Amino acid sequence: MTSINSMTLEVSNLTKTYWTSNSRFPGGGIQPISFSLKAGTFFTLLGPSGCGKTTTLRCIAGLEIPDDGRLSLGPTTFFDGASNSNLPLNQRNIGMVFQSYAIWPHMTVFENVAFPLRVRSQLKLSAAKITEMVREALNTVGLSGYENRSATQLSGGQQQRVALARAIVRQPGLLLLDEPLSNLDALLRDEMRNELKRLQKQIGITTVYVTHDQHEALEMSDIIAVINAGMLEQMGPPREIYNRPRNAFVAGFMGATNLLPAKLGESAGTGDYRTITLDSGEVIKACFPYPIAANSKIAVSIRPESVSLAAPGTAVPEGYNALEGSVLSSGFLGNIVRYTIQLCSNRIQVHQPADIHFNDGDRIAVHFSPEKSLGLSDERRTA
Amino acid sequence: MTDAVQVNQVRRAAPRRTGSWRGSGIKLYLPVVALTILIAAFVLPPAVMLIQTSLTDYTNPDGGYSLENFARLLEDPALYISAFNSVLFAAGATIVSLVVGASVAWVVERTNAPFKQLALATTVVSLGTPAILYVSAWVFLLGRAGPVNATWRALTGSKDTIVNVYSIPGMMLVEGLLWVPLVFLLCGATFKRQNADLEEAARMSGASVFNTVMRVSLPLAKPALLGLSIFIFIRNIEAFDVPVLLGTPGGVKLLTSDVYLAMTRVPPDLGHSSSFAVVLIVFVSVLLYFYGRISRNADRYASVTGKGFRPRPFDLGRYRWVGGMVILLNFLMVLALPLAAMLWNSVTPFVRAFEIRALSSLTLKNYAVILSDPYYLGLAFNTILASAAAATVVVAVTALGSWFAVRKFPGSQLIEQFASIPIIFPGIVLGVAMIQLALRTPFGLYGSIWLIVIAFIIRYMPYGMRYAQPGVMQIHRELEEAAGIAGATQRSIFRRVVLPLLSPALIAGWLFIFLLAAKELSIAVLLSSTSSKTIAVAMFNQWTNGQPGEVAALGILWTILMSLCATVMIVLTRKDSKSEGAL
Repeated sequence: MTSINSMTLEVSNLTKTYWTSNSRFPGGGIQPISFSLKAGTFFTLLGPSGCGKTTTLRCIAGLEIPDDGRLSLGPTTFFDGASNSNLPLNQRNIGMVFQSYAIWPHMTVFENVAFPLRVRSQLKLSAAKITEMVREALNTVGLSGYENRSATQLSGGQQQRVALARAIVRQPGLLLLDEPLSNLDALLRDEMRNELKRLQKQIGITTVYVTHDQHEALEMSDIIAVINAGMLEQMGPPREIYNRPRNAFVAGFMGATNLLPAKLGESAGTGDYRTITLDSGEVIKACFPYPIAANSKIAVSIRPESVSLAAPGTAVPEGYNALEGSVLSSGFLGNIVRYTIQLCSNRIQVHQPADIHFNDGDRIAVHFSPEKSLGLSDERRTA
Repeated sequence: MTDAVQVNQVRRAAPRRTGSWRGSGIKLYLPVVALTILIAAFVLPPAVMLIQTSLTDYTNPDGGYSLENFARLLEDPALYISAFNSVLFAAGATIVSLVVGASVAWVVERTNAPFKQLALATTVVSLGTPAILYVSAWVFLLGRAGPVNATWRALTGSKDTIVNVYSIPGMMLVEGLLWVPLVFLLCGATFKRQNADLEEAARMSGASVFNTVMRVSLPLAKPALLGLSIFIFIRNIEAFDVPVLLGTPGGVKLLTSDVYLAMTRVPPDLGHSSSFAVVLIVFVSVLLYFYGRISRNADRYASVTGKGFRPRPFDLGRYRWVGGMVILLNFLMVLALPLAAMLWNSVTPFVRAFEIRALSSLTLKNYAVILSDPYYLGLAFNTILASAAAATVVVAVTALGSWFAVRKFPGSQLIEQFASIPIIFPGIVLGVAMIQLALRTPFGLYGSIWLIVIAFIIRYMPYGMRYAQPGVMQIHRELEEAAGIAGATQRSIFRRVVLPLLSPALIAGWLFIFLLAAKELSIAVLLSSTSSKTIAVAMFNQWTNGQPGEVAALGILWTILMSLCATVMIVLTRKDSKSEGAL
């Protein structure tokens, strides 16, 4: 398929608040959010459930009407709060895959995929053209030969593919995916993850993907937006999000990490190293990827794989932080051993290669590089 | 951080926008408002008419509105006697149908007793049989010359009868048996939905089957059973066939038969019957209020959870035959005996008891008369036309109406309320109201079959809602949203997605309404003229004219036809196991 249809998605100051019937507090939704996606981008909205990511997606789709802001795809304005204009969803020319797939059970696979072509009478497609386009879409998703199956006879993975074929059949300008993998079992999910990514690149369609699974987000996306409690926490490429999280929430949400609370005495600039006293009294040196004001609450994020364990008294590598603790428990996971270490008052998770072995209760030295100790803002939102 | 403050004190910066993804403005409002007006045009006039006539003093027609009718009614001790009789009759009949129907339903749905198919067959046939046929069959069985009293006399040598069917106990029994099939269906749905895990947990804790039923199964089913018994009680208060056919000849007066008698008097006492009707409506409304409260609570007791739910029947062990006996007894009482009596009546030239020497005089003359006389063909045509037309209109209106209501289309709030209003009209009351309406319409509605069709539409509107609404609720939202994203308009979403998915519920609802309408007597008996007579009315007339043979023959043929329809309905409802089935 061509990439002519692929267009830039512009979202600016999109706002949608749900109000419960009489309360003065919003029941959920999304605070003003803006982003602009270049044609062909795979963009992921990532966050815990109820954070507003699905609301954002449904606003783009036209299933919800935003309170304010502006939405446009290429030359078409979907919604403009200022002029109070809203393009009905059936005129937006977008494809969407739903969490439940939403395959119509009373239609065959062919009819499901042909539906978007049939209901738009203004397209005036001939029967032959419809057949050709449906075949092409089914071929793209690897379901050739399934045309006459009843949709209910398909497995979960196949239904997923039908939903995808239906979303792309009329070559929409934008593809929306609402947690499409969450109903599949683990193996199939891995397979579909790669498949989706491959298809998206092949078609070259701008895609907005919603998920709460950080692994999916990291593997598939060009750009990730982490959302929490209706607010955009950080937006950027996967590596940046993982390695330089904006704050403690993002660090905690993007994979396992240890967050050690502390208070920052003097302000830190981008890339500064500071020696800080943790709330537990231990002193370590940490790196600050973003500027933080003096007297802020911070958390030092240390990934479990960045820590090494050693017998007490072992020489500390040059410049490394060294803490003391004891092994609380350990679990053998095959490739690694996962230890829970009791420090002064914090407990941390540590991943070690399987060939190093410590017993529960052993006193132990904990070594980690200041480079991998990220000092992050930890002002808890009170939402 | 300032963010933290903002979240809690966020102002409604932008006005909340009207409309939803389905659209906004006049295009979305218009169909909803049009449908609401259509439904209101059906259901409101009879209510208004009834209240108006009940307030009009016909002895002094120019005196404006007055409470004269009510005053006269309340002074009349006859009202209190009728009301007492009605309540007594309804309570007794409810107990009969509940005890029989619920026991059979439990045995069929929750145990491994034999003959389960028989219980279903019994239900299917009885759903299609006009009540008047049952009544005539029981009158024959329990009547003075009937086999029961004949046997009694033969055994004791006395000249007395042991049972008098023309009495309140006799009426309770007959009316109770009439409602057994419906109780069986509705109770069956409740028992089927009970999670066997809860019962097995009780068994694992050491309880016997009896203890499990008493301490777990019954308490779980209690709210549903209570709701059901109020519902059946209401239907018995509204009952018309048995009060008129058994009560009136026996001198037992009930509320519904009083309304009928006031209407058929010459000249009809409109004011009296209307105020009577209003009293009946108030009575029924109070009961319905409690019914609504109880059935709402009943939902909390539904113990079905998610997928993989499969009811597991109790093993009755040595007592399997007891369960089998319950089913057989039900079959005998509800179907076999009455049907046998009808068959016997249909092939004897005049009413006579079961006797060997009567065998020689058996004849198929009654069948020959019915099958050859175009009069009966006309009746069948009238009945099928009226019932099918009403069922079609109701299903069409409620399918669209429940879609609007369930999906909360703007302006759809009133649809459900309006469509539910007729539930407070007992059949005979609606008949009275329709007569008054027809008398005031300039075009010749009075005496036409269309008057009956309109009355049926009003009467069965709530039933249609009951079938269509759960049907819509079962359609996953995303199926409609996906169609919207695919580019479909609301119109084509309804036509291409909602309607096909809703069709099993609609077909079952259509058949249910068709069956009820085809045997409906209380409305049709007041509204039909010679040219617009229905089968049920014809049977009623034949019966009162003393032609039981033809009633029976006609009834047998009609029962066969309607049983076929009922079979289709049951198959459809059972396949679609989530739907609640009948009202």
